Amino acid sequence: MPTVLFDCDTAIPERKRHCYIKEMGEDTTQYLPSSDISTIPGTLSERGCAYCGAKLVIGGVLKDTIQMIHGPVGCAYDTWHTKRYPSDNGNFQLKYVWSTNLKEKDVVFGGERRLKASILEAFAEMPNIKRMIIYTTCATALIGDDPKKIAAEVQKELKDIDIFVVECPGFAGVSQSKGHHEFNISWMRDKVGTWEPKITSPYTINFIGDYNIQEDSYVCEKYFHKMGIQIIAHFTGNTTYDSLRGMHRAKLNLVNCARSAGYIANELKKSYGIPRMDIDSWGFEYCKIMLRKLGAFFSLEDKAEEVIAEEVEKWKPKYDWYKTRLPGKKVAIWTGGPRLWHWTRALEDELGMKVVAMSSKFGHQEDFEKAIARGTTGTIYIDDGNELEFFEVIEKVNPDLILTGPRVGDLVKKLHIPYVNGHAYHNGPYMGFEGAVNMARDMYNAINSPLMKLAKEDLRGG
Amino acid sequence: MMMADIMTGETSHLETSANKYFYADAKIVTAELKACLPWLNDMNKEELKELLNGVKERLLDITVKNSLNGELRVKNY
Amino acid sequence: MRQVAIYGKGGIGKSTTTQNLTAALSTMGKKIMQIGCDPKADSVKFLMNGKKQPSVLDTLRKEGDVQLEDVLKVGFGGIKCVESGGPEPGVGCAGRGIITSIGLLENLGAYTSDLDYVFYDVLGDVVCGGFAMPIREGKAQEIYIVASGEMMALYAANNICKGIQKFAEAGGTRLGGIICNSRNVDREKELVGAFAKKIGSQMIQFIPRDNVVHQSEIHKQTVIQYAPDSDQAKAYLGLAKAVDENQMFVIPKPMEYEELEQVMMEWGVVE
Repeated sequence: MPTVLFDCDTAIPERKRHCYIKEMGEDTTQYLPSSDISTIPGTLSERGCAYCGAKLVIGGVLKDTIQMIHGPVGCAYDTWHTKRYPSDNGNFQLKYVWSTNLKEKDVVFGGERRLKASILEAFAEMPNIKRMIIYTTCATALIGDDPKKIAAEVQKELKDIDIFVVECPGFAGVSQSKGHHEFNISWMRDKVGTWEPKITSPYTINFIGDYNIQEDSYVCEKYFHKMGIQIIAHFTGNTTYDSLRGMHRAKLNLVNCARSAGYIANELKKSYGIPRMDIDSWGFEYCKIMLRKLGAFFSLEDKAEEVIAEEVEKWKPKYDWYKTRLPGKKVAIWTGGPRLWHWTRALEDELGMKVVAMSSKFGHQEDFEKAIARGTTGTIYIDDGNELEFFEVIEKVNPDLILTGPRVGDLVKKLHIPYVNGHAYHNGPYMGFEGAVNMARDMYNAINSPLMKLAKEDLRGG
Repeated sequence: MMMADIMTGETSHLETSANKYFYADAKIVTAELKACLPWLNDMNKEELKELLNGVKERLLDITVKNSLNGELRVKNY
Repeated sequence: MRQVAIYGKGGIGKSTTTQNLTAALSTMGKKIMQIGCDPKADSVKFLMNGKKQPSVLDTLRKEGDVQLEDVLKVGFGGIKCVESGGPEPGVGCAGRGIITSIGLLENLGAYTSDLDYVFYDVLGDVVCGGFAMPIREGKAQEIYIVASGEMMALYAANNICKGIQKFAEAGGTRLGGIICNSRNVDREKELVGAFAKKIGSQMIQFIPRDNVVHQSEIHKQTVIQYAPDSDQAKAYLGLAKAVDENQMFVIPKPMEYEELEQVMMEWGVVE
């Protein structure tokens, strides 16, 4: 059916073009929700800002880099350790955050002096760290501070350091998506090709669009290493600044999150002729496909089958246990964008669940084409969904479980509907074969835990 | 069309990495299709090629020609 | 307390006009504070006989803290003089500076109830929200625009009216009139008068061009102080009286560019 206007949206009819329910025989050439456009005032959007897309999602994952946030202190705090991406060096990136702590005076007289002092202070305070990313924020972008000039000055003075500047203030785009874009393109322009990695294998890849959420990267890395493949760079799970500068040396770009990192894969293809291979690293069957494709590309098919056999043997019995216990359960996927299309078939085909609703905060129409193509009929698709719409969807489809972030998650908890953290996971990793088992376990536990039923009861009685 | 080559048993050229990528993609899809749609095995080369051409056209229709994705028409994108 | 903001194209003579206006008002026994809202910080120079005084923002930058007696100095006729100041050219945000400085002055208690007038002498165009601060949030309720018969001066005046229109609807600020600071342009008085009428206001005073202004400024004084009996001083006293007695406060109706050109053609072209 054409896009739908929810009851709660009667006062904001512009929301109609963002909401769609798929019917039998329809495809995306007939109806496609509008997306990646400005949030309509009054809709209680769940979106983040463009700066957040650059810092929290991509740059902040780097494990050996100072994240200098040039702005008022809140911009730093609110994009710090709210995502769970550990590293193998003691979680440097989760422990620290840096801010120039901009004040009224700096706005009036310019914040450049303060920025320089903060950079020097940070490097002096942490003498082992030689890499830095500077982010501009709304305030410093508005007053026209020039962080690139300051970065160049410091690089001249300190010699052995390297600084990358992201100029992506919060207002630069309609959502965090703009920040992903800006980071990708700027990194490609300023840093790729400025460092030479040590090549140890004829088979080299960049693993792009994976942020080591609860050790996702380690799982995938293990498979690749078993196949004899060298990972030049993770963009950006558990990664170092310099490895990302050497991305031009890989023979293949394996792209998981196409929304946040597809851009750099495209640019690497254009500039260095490195093919872009889009894969899904969530779900048992998808993982097999990922490894087989990788094997076919490098003529390492046997190795791929070995890894698959080994992993399947180890994890299939556990997975099968959940497979018999989840069918028919109704689930909503309300996440950022790509997980809609990464997860829907895996949950339906492998676990027999029914994905009844999907919503994306920052996905583009491309993501909706994928999600709707993979999704089934009757499913509700929403772009930039808001609280009231979520409530209405819940009433309509009565889901058993919601995969979403903590913001919406806390909301649905109040309705005593179990939720599993779809952004940072409950007990991950969720990628790979073992990840599929973890995800199934968390979903099973959430649905069957007596907690929500108990919470519904008023213990005071009467 | 690499997929038609694989399905019909013709040899593919794998000199460039772009070709290797197409090959990898095609190989996996072919295996899946053959498993899901066993009647494909009963078709001869010409029929297969015709069918795959039709599929390709349909895919292009949906994802490019008739796509409602506004971004496809943004020049700088 | 009447709060008055003076706007106008850069270089049109806002500061000269404002200082002579406040000096003239002071001779009429009015208690006045004048706040310069321009990063150049040269708005009250002749009231202070050339004595440079620290600006609010410079003090804030250097001391980190501002005391009223550091930045508020008493000049000619008991006029309390303040310079807002601002960043060096090319850095920071001068507009935010004005917001900061007016906020500070309020907190420090500069706006005492014995004042009859507070004057804001504001930088050229209303380039951003900061420079509109004096007419926001119920501060200056009256605005006078300094203009001449030159095309660009009237163009700027028209633009300022667009800004006033916006704030007038929300906040209640009104245009009190156009002060014509003569540049000896042909039929200047008629042209500026016609312009003022067209936007629904009045030309409140015509200030002729006179070398005595130049002379008094060399002596670091206002005309009112340097040559109190001159014709020019009378013109400023006339302005002071007109402002003090003014009853005509309007929401201006700025013109479209074509319309403005037409007025210029009608009055400005000399055959």
